[in-house]
Amino acid sequence: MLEKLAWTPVHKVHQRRPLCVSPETPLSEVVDLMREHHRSAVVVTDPEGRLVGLFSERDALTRLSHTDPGWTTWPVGEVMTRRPTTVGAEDSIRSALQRMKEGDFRHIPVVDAEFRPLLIVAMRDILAYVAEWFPQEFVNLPPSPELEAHQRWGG
Amino acid sequence: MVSKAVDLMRERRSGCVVVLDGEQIEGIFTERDFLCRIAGERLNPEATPVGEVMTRSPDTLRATDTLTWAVNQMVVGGYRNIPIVDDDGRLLSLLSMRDIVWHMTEVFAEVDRPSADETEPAGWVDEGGG
Repeated sequence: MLEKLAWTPVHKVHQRRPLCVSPETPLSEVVDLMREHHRSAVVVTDPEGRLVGLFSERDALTRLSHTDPGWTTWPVGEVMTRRPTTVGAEDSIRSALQRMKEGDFRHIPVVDAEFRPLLIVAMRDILAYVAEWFPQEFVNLPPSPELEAHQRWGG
Repeated sequence: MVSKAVDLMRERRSGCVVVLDGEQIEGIFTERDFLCRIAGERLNPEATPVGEVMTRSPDTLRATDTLTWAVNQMVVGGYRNIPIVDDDGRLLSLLSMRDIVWHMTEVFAEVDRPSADETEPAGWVDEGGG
């Protein structure tokens, strides 16, 4: 089972389309979009729809200025992660996770042959997908951790 | 103030800080809280106390609780960091989704690619009988 899981194509993890913005989009708009759609990252595309960058919650924390309230007008293209690592739709979960670990990031865009984003896979999506492969372990959880049996009991 | 928490998170390359009152956990402030409650509300990080925008009384786990619980909380609860506490509720460490997933990559690295006939789900098997 573990082999099948590890080599599952990443496009099977989930089917949520990425939230796309242009590099000229002001950060205020990007932040509002992320909040509205409950997304932890957006992809940035050029006029032809090709991936040029990615902006995540981490980028918001590390690249927005504390002292300059004018950050709201900054174009996202100035603070995004440029040329993010990507995978193809048929690349495996194993491969996607390895690239995420090497780059220490939590999101990886899935792109087509023209480098247009098809999906964006978050670490949480992969974790949720892995959990689905072990339903018994999760369905049988008691209401709280304190109630979990650590030894056999009963009469 | 939030700005101090952000500086600490940047310095330690951490996705969150745990807010303590003495030895007890009061809350947790995360990257998501920064996005939604500071940037999203256009608040000044240098003038906003972290206590006003943190997530209060976060879910915690004990060190003896299983990873299944951690995964369940992260997936269902939608968060990436879980404080690990002792029996008195004092903070011991922090478990992040990254810790779990990085461990998963190590497990997957040792797994061979299945053969072609193992990648398809098993179909119906006629075991005979009436």
